[in-house]
Amino acid sequence: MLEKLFGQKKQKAEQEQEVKQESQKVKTAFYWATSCGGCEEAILDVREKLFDVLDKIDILFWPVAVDTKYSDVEALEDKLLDAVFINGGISNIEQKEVVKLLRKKAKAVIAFGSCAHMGGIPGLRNLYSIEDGLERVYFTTPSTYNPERALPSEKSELPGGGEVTLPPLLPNVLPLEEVISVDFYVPGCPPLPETILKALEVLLSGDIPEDNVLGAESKSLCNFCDRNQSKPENLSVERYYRVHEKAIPPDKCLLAEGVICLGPVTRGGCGEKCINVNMPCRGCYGPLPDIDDMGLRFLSNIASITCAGEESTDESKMRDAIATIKDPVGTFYRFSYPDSSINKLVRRR
Amino acid sequence: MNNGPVVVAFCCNYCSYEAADRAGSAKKNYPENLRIIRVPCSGRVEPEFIVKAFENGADGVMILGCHPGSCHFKTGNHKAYRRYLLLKEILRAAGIDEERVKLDWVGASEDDKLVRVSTEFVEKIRELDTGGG
Ligand code: SF4
Ligand code: SF4
Ligand code: SF4
Repeated sequence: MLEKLFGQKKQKAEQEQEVKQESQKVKTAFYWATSCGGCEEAILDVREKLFDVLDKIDILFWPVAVDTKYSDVEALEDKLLDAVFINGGISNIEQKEVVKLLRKKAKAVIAFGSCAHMGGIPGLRNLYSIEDGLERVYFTTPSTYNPERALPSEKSELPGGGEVTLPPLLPNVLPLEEVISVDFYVPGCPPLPETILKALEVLLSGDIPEDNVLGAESKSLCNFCDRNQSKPENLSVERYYRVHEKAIPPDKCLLAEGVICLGPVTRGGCGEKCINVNMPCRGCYGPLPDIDDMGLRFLSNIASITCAGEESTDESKMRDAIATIKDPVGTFYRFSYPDSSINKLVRRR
Repeated sequence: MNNGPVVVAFCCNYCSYEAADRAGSAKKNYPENLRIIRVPCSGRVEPEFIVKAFENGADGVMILGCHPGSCHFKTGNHKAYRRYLLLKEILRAAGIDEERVKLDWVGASEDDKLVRVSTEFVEKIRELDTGGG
């Protein structure tokens, strides 16, 4: 169905045929759930190439850009939409209902971006109860000023009469695939324009990778990283640094220098964006195909390189070195906590 | 069958499994709650194995390796120790009682230590289960 999107040979279209093509356009919908908006911008970042695509698609629903209502979606025939792109994790009942509705209307659902793919950064709230999360966000972060202790509530009276409601939060942020079945994934926070275009090409070619992750590599970021050669064979790290605590020469492997870099467990394909500006990889492109739980695998990596010299048998030294890793859960699972076996275990209990 | 907690113990081939074997031959009692899994080295126990044990109904998991300096593979036990430290941090943050995982060193001749460590651990887990940990 998607060959319509990027028709290889442009038809020498007669008027008549164009009318026909109009009805043959790929029918799409876009939706954002617990999204920061970055994934929506990512689509615009495709820039002029987007126009080639826009010619060939019909957008029947896109809350951020097109004035459409849920009722418009409800009115569609089932499975009418060729491709539905959803970004953001699922964290309230409205989102849950909307994605279920979209699933019903879709031939293919694409989880777009880290949040839809793995839960994303908002998914770190799964480490807390809803109450503790709200308390932190609305009252106690250093940047919060909220003397009235205002909190969003599910129902609020309007001063002029009437009331507005907010959908209740789910106890956890969920990756899209835990709410509806997902056909394809486009990784990244947000996916880069190159990734998006590559993903569409892959869809068209029909040469879909086994894990249905589109537009990224199946080898680790380290494989593409220029700094990899500087990584010593027998790596041993005695203490870790946060990014601002140590100046790293631009040709040195960040991990070898003690800055936590998730390159070894993360898919390549982002063009090493963070590395190129001397920032470590935080893992937004998600785990390598053979990795189930990104954070646990990375944990093993770190355990292997910390005080790894054969002579170091001193347990207290190891404890000290491990203690220099700030916030292991938030660092190892920056984008993937809701997708982790640990969070799933906790949720099942 | 019994109704007590299920405790999985990963025992390394060269030390703690030997010790368990020895305890068995000497007819020493250790808790029936123990499910021993023999591994080539404590360093072989991936954190995924531990989480998998919990997924499959374990209430507690032990990793019993050789004493520091006597690992058959030289440093496998140290790697196990570092994994253990990190996993405990992650479990704690996730809201799982970190005491449900325990690492200890048990040499091949230390059948008494194996009995003691596993009995204490089973008791600890029983406490957590009844105390709502
Ligand atoms: S994946 Fe990143 S850019 Fe996309 S919605 Fe989530 S946080 Fe925003
Ligand atoms: S760990 Fe990071 S800096 Fe080092 S080679 Fe891999 S991606 Fe590059
Ligand atoms: S370097 Fe890592 S965190 Fe940065 S864009 Fe690439 S995959 Fe994402």
